[in-house]
Amino acid sequence: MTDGVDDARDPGRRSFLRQAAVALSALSVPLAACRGDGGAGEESDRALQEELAGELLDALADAVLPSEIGAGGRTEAADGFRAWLDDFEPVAELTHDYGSQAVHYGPEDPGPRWSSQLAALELVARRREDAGFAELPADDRRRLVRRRVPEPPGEAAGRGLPGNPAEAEHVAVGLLAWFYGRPEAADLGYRARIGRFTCRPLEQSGERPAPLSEGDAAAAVRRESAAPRSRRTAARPEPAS
Amino acid sequence: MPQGDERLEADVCFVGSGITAAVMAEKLAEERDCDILVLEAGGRPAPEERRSETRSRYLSYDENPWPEDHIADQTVAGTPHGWTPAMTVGGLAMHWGGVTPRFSPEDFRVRSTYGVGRDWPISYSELDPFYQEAEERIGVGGVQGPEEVDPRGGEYPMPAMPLTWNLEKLRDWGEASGVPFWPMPQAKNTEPRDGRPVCCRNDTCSPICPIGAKYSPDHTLYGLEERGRIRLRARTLVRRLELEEDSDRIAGAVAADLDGGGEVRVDADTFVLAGGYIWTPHLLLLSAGSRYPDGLANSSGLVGKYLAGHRGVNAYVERPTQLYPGMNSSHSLISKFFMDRAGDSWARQQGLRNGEGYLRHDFRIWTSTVGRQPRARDGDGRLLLGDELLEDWRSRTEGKGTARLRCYYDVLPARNSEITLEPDLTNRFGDPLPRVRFRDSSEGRRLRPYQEESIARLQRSFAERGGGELLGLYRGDGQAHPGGGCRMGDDPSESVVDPRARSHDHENLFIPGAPSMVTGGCTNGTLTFCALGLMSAAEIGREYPARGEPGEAGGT
Repeated sequence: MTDGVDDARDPGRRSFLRQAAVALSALSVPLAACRGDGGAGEESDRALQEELAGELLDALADAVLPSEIGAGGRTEAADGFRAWLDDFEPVAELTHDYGSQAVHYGPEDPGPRWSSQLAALELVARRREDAGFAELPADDRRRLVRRRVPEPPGEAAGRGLPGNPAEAEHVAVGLLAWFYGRPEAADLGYRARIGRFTCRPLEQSGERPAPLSEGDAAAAVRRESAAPRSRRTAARPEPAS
Repeated sequence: MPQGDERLEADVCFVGSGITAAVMAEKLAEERDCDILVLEAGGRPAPEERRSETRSRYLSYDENPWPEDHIADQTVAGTPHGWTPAMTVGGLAMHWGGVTPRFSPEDFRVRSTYGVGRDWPISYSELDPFYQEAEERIGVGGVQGPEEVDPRGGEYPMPAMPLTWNLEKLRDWGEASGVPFWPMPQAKNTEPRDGRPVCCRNDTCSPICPIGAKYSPDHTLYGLEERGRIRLRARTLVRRLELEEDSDRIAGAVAADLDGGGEVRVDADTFVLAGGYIWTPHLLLLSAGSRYPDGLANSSGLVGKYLAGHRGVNAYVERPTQLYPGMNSSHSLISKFFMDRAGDSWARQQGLRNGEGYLRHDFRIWTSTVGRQPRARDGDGRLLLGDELLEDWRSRTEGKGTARLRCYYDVLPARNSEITLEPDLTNRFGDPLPRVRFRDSSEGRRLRPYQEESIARLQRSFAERGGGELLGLYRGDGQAHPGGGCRMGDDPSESVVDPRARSHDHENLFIPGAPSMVTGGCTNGTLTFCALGLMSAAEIGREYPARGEPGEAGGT
């Protein structure tokens, strides 16, 4: 390895789905019973568990992300979130703002915590509803998620999404923070093609952003999910003053 | 003289490689025939071709786009406002937002005009050509405000950054009050310049411009290095300066190669301390010896004293106007109206000031996202999922926006607003590190309530105009863009350096830029640091022949 910034990383060394599969296994989620699959040994079980973990994350995204981006957009957002998580660097040195004294380091890898929570959603769905999480109607999935997401200490009313998704206590909130932190979400929230954090001609500065048409929302999400890395907006600090 | 493991020689040795050093080294390298060595304690930041990549990590994960741009054991005790632990080639300006307002003429004469604080030994008009040169060198785009409050001797080198949709609306709102606002000048290309492209609103000016449209000191330094005009040595921590045996001239700098290379001894004709307002006084204090027991350049006892900055009052105002995030977030409107008597008169006519105190401040307006972010929970604490979250967000974004109002007022420097050595905090070499204590002078303490309440009243009055609502008002305690610690003056008993930043005690030692400031002004200081540095570079250059011209030193 050279002395570069990213060369020290090995993006393939973690996989959220592998972690989630382990969590499913640890919680003894009965694969065979729910999938009508007899199982063919440890390797097959792991593959099934990873598949189930993927379906769980898709089902979670389908329940908590907005309908406006379409089912395809929600699935692709789940893919983007997974890729973001797989490329997460634990305890990375965070940026220090202009005028700030401290050097801060980021959170630990949220993957193990979130994968356990994902597995727990599956388990609680089976125990409460006698069905897999992904099989439940979206309203029921949202109800289950609300029960599982801990209320943050202190004043919860009006609470914003975590600036850094990795700081989210629950995978559902992490997914929301990641999704709404991207520039495409700002376009959705303002129904306008703002294109934040993209290269935009200076001479167009004075123009009002064009309105976002209905089809634009899903298309924007798809474009973003295809990109190698996600981008966030919600956590950006106020500009240096 | 100690025998170092490595010995270097130069005509001019810079200690520190931030923005002041960059523009000074460039001027000297272009104009004078001298051998320039720039020493930097930190490392080299990510090269320009990797900045899109590090920016992407910053955006995705909030990671530092300038990783390891600090030295873990070179830290500071106390309250070092405005200090970012950025020890790297390019210094703190690798993180800056790129805005470049000038001080106003009155900043240089507050004592003679208002009877408070202290006058500088130079005037605005003396500094004006160096402001202009600084703007040319780092590439500033701007438009002049009303001449009576924004005088300047020449045109801006580039057109101003165009106002965004948001700022057009906010300017209309601001100016409806009768207060003039204009685009904040910035060191960001509005046309190709210096081998750097035009800004395309990538919107991460601070901490990183991915394309180099924002001026970055490392660009200048690397360019000079590539052309063989300077030598740039990173990871070299200067630990002390030493005197010649038989004179008060600085003989050499003793440094440590932080990559394990041992001691480095630098002999130079001229030393320029450009490590900023903390590390420069710190090095002088560390360099105490038998002839200067209180530190070099410190016969006045003022090294590390009279730290100077400005303090801000911020208001966030909801406007019934559609504003959008991320249009060009660091761009803003500025008014210098209140840095001049005109603003004071206007505010009194409006009934916004009813005291007799001294108050000058700038006034800046941005778009803000305060109150406009997506929320996890609604007002009842209920977790928002699915369409609810988006609907909740839109209910707070449609047809409205938030403006941020910020005013910096100058804090009158106190002698005991200071940097001292902290014996209980040492680096790997056992050198004591700095302790920084910002304190207000007695007159500053007396004025502060009046100053802050007057600014708050002004901001509230803006909030109420046109159906706005004040969301919050915040008075900061820290001092922004600090300087001082080696203030300039004509009298060696009351200052550390002369008006050209030459040490009163050591004829070949210069302490330009932020540390030489007498007061902190009431607007962002970076351009002033550069202008002061260039004024000093002109003086240093007199010691060396003009480039391409054989001859003796001492030209005019």
